[in-house]
Amino acid sequence: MSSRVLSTAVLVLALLCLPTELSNAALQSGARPGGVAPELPEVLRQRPQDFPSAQPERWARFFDPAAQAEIGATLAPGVLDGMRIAESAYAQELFLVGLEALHSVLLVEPDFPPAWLVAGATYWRLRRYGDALYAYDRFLAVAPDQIARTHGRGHALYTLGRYLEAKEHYLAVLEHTDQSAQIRLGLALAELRLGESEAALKHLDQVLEGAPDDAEALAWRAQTLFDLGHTAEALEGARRAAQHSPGDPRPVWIAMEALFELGRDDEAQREEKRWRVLERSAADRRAIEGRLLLHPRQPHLARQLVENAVATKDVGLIGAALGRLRASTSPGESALSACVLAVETWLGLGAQDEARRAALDMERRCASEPAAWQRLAVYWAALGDLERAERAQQRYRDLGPP
Amino acid sequence: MRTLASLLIPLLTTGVQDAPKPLFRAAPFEVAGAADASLESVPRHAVRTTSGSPEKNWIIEVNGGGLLLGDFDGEGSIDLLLVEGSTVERVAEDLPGEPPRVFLNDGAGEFRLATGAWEIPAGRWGTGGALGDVNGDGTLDAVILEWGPDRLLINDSGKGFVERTDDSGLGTSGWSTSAAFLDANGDGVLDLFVVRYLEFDPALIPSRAARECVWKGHPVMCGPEGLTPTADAFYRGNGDGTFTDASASFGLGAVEPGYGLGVVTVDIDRDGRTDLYVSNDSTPNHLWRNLGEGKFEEVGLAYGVALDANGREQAGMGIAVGDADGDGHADLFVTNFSGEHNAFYRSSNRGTRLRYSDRSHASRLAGPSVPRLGWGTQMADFDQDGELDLVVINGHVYPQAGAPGTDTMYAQPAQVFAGRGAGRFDEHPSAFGAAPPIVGRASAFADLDGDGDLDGFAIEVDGAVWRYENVGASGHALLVELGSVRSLGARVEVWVQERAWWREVSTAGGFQSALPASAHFGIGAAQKVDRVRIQWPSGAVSEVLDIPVRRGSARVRIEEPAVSKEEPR
Repeated sequence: MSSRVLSTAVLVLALLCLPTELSNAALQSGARPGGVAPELPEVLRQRPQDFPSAQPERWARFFDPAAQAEIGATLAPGVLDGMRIAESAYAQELFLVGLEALHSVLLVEPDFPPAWLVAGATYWRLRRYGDALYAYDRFLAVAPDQIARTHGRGHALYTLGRYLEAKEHYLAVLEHTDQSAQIRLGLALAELRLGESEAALKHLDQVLEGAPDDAEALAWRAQTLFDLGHTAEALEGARRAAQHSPGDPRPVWIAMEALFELGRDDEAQREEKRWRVLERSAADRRAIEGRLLLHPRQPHLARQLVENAVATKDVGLIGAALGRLRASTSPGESALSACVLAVETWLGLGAQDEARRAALDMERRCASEPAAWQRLAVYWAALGDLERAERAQQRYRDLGPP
Repeated sequence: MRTLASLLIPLLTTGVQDAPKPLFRAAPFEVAGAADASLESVPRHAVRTTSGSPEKNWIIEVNGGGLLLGDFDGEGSIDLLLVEGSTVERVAEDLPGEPPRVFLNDGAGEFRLATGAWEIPAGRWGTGGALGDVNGDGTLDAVILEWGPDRLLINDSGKGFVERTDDSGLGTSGWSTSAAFLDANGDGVLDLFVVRYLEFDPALIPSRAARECVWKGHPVMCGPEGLTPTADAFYRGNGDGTFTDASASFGLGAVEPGYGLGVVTVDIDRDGRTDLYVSNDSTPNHLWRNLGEGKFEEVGLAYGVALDANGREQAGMGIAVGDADGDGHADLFVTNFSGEHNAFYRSSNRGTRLRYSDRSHASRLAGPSVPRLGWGTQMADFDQDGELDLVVINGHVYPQAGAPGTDTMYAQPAQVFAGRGAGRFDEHPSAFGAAPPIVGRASAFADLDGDGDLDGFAIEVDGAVWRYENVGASGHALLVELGSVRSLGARVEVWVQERAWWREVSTAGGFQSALPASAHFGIGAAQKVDRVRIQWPSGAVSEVLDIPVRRGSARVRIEEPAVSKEEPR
């Protein structure tokens, strides 16, 4: 039984690393029609409050390795399988599938700490911030000493506009964990919203010490400088952020604001034009992402996302969109077309390293497709890797023309 | 042995004693003979309004009616003109909606439903309105806005309203929401700006039942996104109670229309000309800078008041205006959708020119507004401590709010944010006492009972009209009333010892409402106002010195002088 418990702990630790970034997109919780799905899935009709607590004291020593064997012996059947499904679904951004699995776990083990923790992260990704907060609170009710694992609770509080509570939670988390850039960024944003710009600036600088090119932190730093009246520095910071994230309209907006403030109206108007184009594109992107939220496997929408990202020439956005498209396609023709799009997109942008990685991925994903090898021969040649090009040509001949 | 309850009671009592005193006493607005007894959820004599079905299948049913406050009968107290809607079924049968109603005030805050010549025929679907003396006869006339032709009501010497729509030059059909009277070209005659929302036709737009529009997974009524916004309109006053559509020369054709909901008048750049600020739902807000001679240019983006701090358009509902940070320039506050924050655009002169930026977070106004959907709002010194406060009436548009995952509620508490100076605010934790949350919409605040402090009304959609009696103002107040049609746009400045305040006179209430042409000042504990100075739009200046404040408030009425012109326009 102890191995079963150990696997639970491993599972939990893996899930604790789930990314719950306080992304710019999440700051604006889309709230008007044009929404997410024609029907609310059954799993979302249930509230987390529908799962009553029962014997919470059972889990008091859950995170104590010495107690794992004892606890594991009492786990209800299906709990581990449910958690594995939830973890896998989360990694694939299949949040509804994950939530269903978590609900099944909570039905048989109402206070199972990992289930509430993962539910917090899953609800967050589904933009159900109140439910995310509730899930984290349920987790902390049974595992109060595990606060280090709950920075997502700070994100939920922040998004609900409860900035003071968010700040206090981030500070509490920071007392129990390593210096995390994500938590510091959250803390800085909460401080910014509370009007504590000096403190926010200090924490943003700490984030940037570890990651000097973090575009999001750079943009927020520029915003903070603007709020503090350091307009010229804000302009400089905004332009640096825009270099690292050319598809994001926000740094351009801050630069425009700073230029107007500095009385450089002509330049401001040029930035305004640029911002308008980027904002339109970002609005389209947000709309597509909203439609993908509950039903992420829609290749045609993922492809639209790629087209949108390519137009911005933002490598980060393009990579993320291609990743979404890859996840949306299943082996076969659709996977091949996704691979082709990835390689050709990167080649078209002259991004040799990314194109090489995409070609290698294509070799793995589409190994049984003759058409893939035929194209790979061309791609590798274009990348100057004649040895791989020759090998691809040979593979194409071996498999026979389609 | 003491029981648990006996241990807890002292703690609870202490808690109650420590809670701040409510600022307003909230109660349904009850007037004998004015009630619709069919609504069981409100008291028998409570006044209620109609705005479509409670299910809210169409966007037209959502915004509710309007509240216009002014002295209609000339007896010196603030009366109410209540505007309300209809139902989609009645419109389909070509039947009129609910008629606007006038409630006359006896001066002590007791209202009666006015009858006879005050009875106003029903229009198609009333929304809001505006108040001003359009023919210069010294009485307050009204424009009633409609989904349908807008209407002009001329005040017959304080004895009643007479409809004069047909030959007024108004009457453009469409969906108007808010309006503002102003003297745009400095000719001493009131002009009219009408804010309009969108092209609505239930035959062409799917109802909620079609399940085509979704919010957070729940089918809701459709709009405004996806529907066609309607351009606002500007009418030049001819001085005889008629108007000429001057939208083209105003400059309205130069910008993309927004889904307009609210409007205020304010001289934003202090050049002596009245400008206009318009809140647009889901589209950038517009700031119309007055260039003179009835021409305006839209400068919302250049001035930093079109979008929020992230460069995103918001839901732009109601507007409040006032100088919250005491820098001599007006600041602007806009209520927005749930999940968004209410925007507070603070003026700054850090650079080479006047600019605004959304400082709602630093002002501590943003966080408490995120779960709420705000409508009517007003910036005034409600507690009379010398700092401007904000009142916000909330309520969601979707009855589905409160369903799983929505992170908000349909009925929501109203809020007061107490000004702390320097553009900072704190939410009053119990401003409305034990008042229940309501599905609030338009609001308007003025001194209704003659005691010098600001009371108010708010509309609850599908419920009662609510009345808020100010019971918590701790400081003293001065109310400056201005006489003539030419008072709109006047700047009133008040000095008490080392402190000075200013207000700009306007009747535009921000969202489907209108306010009296007066200026209210909280002066703290002062017993005397040293000086009042009025800069009239004509350039004339009035000054009154040494006004004693007895029993907590003082009231002065000042007429425009014929001479003493300064800085002529």
